[in-house]
Amino acid sequence: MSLSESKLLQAYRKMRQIRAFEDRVHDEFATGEIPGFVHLYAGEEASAVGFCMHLNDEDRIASTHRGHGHCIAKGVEINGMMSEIYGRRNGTCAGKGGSMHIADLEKGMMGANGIVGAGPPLICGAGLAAKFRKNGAVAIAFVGDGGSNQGTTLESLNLATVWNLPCIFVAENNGYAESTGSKWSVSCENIADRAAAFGMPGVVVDGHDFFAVYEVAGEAIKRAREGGGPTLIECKLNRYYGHFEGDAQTYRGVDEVKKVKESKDCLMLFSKRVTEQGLLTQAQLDAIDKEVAAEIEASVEHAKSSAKPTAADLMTDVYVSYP
Amino acid sequence: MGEMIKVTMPKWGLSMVKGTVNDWVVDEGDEVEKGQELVEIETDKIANVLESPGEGVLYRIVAQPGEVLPVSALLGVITQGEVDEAELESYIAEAQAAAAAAAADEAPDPLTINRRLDWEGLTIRYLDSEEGERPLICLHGFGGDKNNWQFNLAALAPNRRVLAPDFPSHGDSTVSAEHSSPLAYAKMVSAMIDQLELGQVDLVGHSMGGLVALLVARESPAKVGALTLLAPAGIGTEINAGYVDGFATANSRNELKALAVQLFADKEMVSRQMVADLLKYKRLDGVEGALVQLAGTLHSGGKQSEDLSSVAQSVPTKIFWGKADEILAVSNCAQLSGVDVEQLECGHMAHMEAADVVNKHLT
Repeated sequence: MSLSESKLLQAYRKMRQIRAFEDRVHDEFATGEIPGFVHLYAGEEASAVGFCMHLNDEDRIASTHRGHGHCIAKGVEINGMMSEIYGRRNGTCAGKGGSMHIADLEKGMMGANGIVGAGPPLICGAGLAAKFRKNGAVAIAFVGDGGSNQGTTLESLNLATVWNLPCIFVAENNGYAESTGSKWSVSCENIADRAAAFGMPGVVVDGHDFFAVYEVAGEAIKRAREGGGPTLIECKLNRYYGHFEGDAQTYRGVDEVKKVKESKDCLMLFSKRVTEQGLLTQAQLDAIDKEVAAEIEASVEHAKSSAKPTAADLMTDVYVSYP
Repeated sequence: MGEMIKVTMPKWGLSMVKGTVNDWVVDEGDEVEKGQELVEIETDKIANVLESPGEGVLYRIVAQPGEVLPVSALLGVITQGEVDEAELESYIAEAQAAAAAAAADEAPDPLTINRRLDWEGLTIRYLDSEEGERPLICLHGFGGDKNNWQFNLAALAPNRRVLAPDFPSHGDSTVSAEHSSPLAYAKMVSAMIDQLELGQVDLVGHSMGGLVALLVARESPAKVGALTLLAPAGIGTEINAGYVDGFATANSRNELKALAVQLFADKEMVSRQMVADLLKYKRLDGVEGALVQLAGTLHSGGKQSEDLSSVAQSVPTKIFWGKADEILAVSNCAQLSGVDVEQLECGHMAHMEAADVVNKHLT
């Protein structure tokens, strides 16, 4: 597997955008200006980007409560997302959804989701639609280790095989369902082991390694596009922040996150590999870092200076008529 | 003078609005790095340690252990480089003032409180913006309630005090057929002015509320400044009696929908929710009887019972009337001289359909 220089640059930019976006939301949320609740994806970037690099706007994804990374990876516009999180009228969903309900159907992003395990049934629908339309599209649901234990997920795995749907189920196992360790709450060694029970391939991949994710994702997506049916993929990775902003994380080990950042950070591993192999230069990566920092700064300024929804907006966007 | 960085009460989780400052983990004068633990904060749900927002010296601890402070309140100041004490003091004063202003913004909007007062043994519910001069009382129409002013109250509140009651047998006020007549409602408004010590007020009345406003002006002239009447009853004699009687007895969704669309020029303004709310109200015990009786006081033989044009001529009065009004025809004011009448491109609900025009006048 080899990636062109432009693809490598794109992958790095997306991962950096997600990291910078989440680090900034972490700081901004603490000021009290952001309404509601946020759950940050920092640390898990290689998973969202490794999958979404293979997708086009016809392909659909369903996300989780920790959805900002999936949105950015799928191409949702960053200014719109920041405004949405700030509850502003020019947000992706007119400021009515907030962090956990960012959806952009034109980009194939079916939505972040406040319900744990709600994504898999949605992609069975999207997968069935693609199958009827014969447009070669695929549908991907990201769930966490907590979501992987939900009945909705298990039913969807069964249905996807029964109907031979072009679906990929990605279990992002960051070790904790809120504060409950997955080593304790998941019944088997690997979530991917469950695939055998549903008659589909199951693959475990190191979710810190973009290249490993990209390769595994590519195979599963190709198989799905060609009518070969669903796959269950488990990305083992870590989240850098708490379950939610303000989580004291007393359930985590001393320096647990610090050690992961030092040894397995996905951006660090990516940079090391591409520079050591001479695929990209450090200067190219530094330039992206700088551009992304400015982009995120601008998105915060943009959001803060944007108007909030008005009382009259309450009555709009309540029902949607699909053509 | 170097850089100064505010350490503020964080927002953690979904619902945190204030936190208790526990122990500082670092001392005044200590050097700190970004991300270093600074101070323990506790809320109803969370106990966590606040991380430093930047690098420098924790030059001043502002919040002491045990203090309970709102989100964004100043806890301390981190400095980089030389510190000018006077500038630091003014920086702290500014930050505290900004936080206090932000906290005031967070206070519940007074207009969201469903207030009550007692009148002749009944509970009268009303909205009140509390602050401001030149109180304006907004009087709803037949079968309406205080929420009919949803497009007006918040828009007017920054400039003057606004109040909106539910008449007896309407909204959340007590149902009482005995107290359901325009004259009884006028007495209630007069009592409200006294109880709340409002002094002299302006009145805006819609439809039957316009008739009530005219009656208050007639009965208690000292209490009323200016009148604004929106498609008022009590001016002229024409009335869509079929609507009034039909509304009093309607008890199905379809009947109410067919009536509600007569209120608006743009029929799309009648939402499912609006009809559902009307139905819920109409099914309250005693409402139908009270409305039937009230309807009987508003018209007889298809004509309005009372013409109060002379009152409108004796008090500063402005009338707005929709050209497409299907309930009280705009022709009612054809013979009215000496009163400022403005005709609008709307139906019976000028305060909703032409809220901007009405609000501009009332401001």
